[in-house]
Amino acid sequence: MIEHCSDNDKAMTLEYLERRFGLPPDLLSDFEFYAGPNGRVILGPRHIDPCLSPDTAGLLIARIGNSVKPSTNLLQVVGSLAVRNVITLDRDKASQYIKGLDLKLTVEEIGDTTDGYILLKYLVFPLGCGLLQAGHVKNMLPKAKRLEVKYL
Amino acid sequence: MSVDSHPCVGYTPPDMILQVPPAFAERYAPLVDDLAAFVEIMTTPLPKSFRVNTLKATTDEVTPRFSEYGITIKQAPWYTDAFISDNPALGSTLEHFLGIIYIQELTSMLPPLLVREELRGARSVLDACAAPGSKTTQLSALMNNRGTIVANDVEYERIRPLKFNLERSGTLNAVVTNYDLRSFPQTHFDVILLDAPCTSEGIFRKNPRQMLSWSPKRIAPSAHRQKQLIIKTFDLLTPGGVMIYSTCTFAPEENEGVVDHLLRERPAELEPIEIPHFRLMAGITEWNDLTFDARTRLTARVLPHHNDTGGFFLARIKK
Repeated sequence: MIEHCSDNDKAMTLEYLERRFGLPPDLLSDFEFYAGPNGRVILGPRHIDPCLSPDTAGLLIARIGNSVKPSTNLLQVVGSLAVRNVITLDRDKASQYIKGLDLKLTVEEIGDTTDGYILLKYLVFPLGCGLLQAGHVKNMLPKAKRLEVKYL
Repeated sequence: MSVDSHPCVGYTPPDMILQVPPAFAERYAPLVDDLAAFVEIMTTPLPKSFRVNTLKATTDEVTPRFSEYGITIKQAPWYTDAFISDNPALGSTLEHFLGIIYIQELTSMLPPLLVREELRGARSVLDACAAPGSKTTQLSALMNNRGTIVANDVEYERIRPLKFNLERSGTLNAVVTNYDLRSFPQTHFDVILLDAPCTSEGIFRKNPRQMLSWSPKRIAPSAHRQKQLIIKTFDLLTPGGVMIYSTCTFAPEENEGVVDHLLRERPAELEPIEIPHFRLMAGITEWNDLTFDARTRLTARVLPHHNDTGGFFLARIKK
């Protein structure tokens, strides 16, 4: 049986998403928070039949270690509502990000974004998560998701 | 046996074209309305198709993007979210990367459509043979991420692509299980899809090499397993609930024969199937020396030359 997430981990995740991206805390209130292995936080359906032993449920939305790391899956779903720490890429850099490459950003591109996990966008589309450190974006896109996109 | 030495091979490089095995054409001559058209289309490549994932975007948002790309797409007349394209580059689009479109065969979109109304109020749905997740993600979109879908598959190695596709499409209301259906815990669901493992004769257009291994000897063991699965799945249905039994094969033994078995063993009812602007062939009641329950006429077969699709079979079953 999949375990429910602790109140503390749920609160820590929601507080982080609000503080870092300005996502409202009630945004995910239609769903249940579950605990995965190694600090994973999973968002899934409210009701899971207790007689079932699921392999997994819902969507991995974050991992809690020393801090909270949001998942690309989550940012692709709710990223259009994020109001800070969002960087919009041009076509070439968006293509590089989707391919899995790290990015070097200009001061203008960074604007008032602070170091830490960021949402990368292209046009209106939330692409996924990156880690901004001193103008350098470490690509956090899971390897299986990386793709050579020809049309964007 | 190598492809080159197989008697089905009519012409090889540059694009290997296989011929329909003569015994296959002979077997299904009594079943189809136009044997020449049926045989001809079986060696014609299947058009590419995709579904707009309405969890992430609307068709009105997606179609202009493809115009900008110069990729021609055509909306299916029977499903506003379904599109056909002869462009092989669908998998290289931003929309595919983001899970805004889901590359899916047209026939695979039919079972969820047949329970569209029931899904709106469903609290629990079972996709009994779910991998790789095409129908599960479509169910989730039709449910707008509400309720709970149990996406089950018996093959563990198919669970990983299933999870990947659920994640990419933003499916939040699904749980993944890995049971052999025959030992699935005794619980109940409002709606069930049983897209049963089958001899896959309907995917010859997608995978012509399947023709090389076609043999009528594979049909009986497949039907035997399907009869076990349909009984178990029906027993998981809430009274008043609806299930769709489907296969991607033509063999009546795996289709009407399996539904007939259910009607004999359980108090199941069949309901008529109609999809506006999509041509279906009514189920049959006799096949070789077999006679099926007269209600199997309410089942439906998709013949590839009727809608330029793969082959498929559908039954809508009420408890």
